[in-house]
Amino acid sequence: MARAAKSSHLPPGRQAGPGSGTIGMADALDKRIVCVFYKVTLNELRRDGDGLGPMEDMNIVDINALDAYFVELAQRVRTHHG
Amino acid sequence: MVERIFLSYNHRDTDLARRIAAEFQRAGLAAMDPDTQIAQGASWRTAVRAALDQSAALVVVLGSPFKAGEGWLTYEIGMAEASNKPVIVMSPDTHSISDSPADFLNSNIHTFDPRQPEAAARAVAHEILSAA
Repeated sequence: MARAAKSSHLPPGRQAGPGSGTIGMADALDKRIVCVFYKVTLNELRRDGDGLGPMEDMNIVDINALDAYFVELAQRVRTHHG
Repeated sequence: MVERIFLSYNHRDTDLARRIAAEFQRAGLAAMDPDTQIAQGASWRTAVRAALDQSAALVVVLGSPFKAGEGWLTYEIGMAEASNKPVIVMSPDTHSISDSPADFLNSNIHTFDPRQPEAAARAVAHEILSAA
């Protein structure tokens, strides 16, 4: 979804505005949009050019804590199964 | 009937965009400028869509190299593409746009001498009016 500017040192999620072109296409086609953030945070995006831009009033799911969630889940499973 | 175009630009390129818009006007094209024509507090996404629906084309003024996080320009290009509107990118020949996102590179690109944006605007206006 994110399109990388070739020379940028930024992670792909923060270069072109993550998937902004795709979001515009989806809006034009009346598709439901859910933005899933991973390895980039809302605060990081807010500091860039347009801030959240078109994502400002969208449904956003932040899964940056996914790794911690899996660690916790593994611990629970181990505890549960002794 | 006056043809309308949607004019997309970054705030730092406002002066250049307004010079181009004025020349469009002289050539018979009404430039819809979201910066001045979208009411404060209105949903920008809804307003952009309404403006694009009424426009014959999207003209993006990329007066300086693309910077990270400029999501609105790419959003408007994506919306125009999905709406089957022609997308024209106008960029001064003083900088390369090869590092810009693919959304820009896939468009109809007009490079121009930054001292004469009016001449470029006349050429773009002619192209749009000829296709209309």
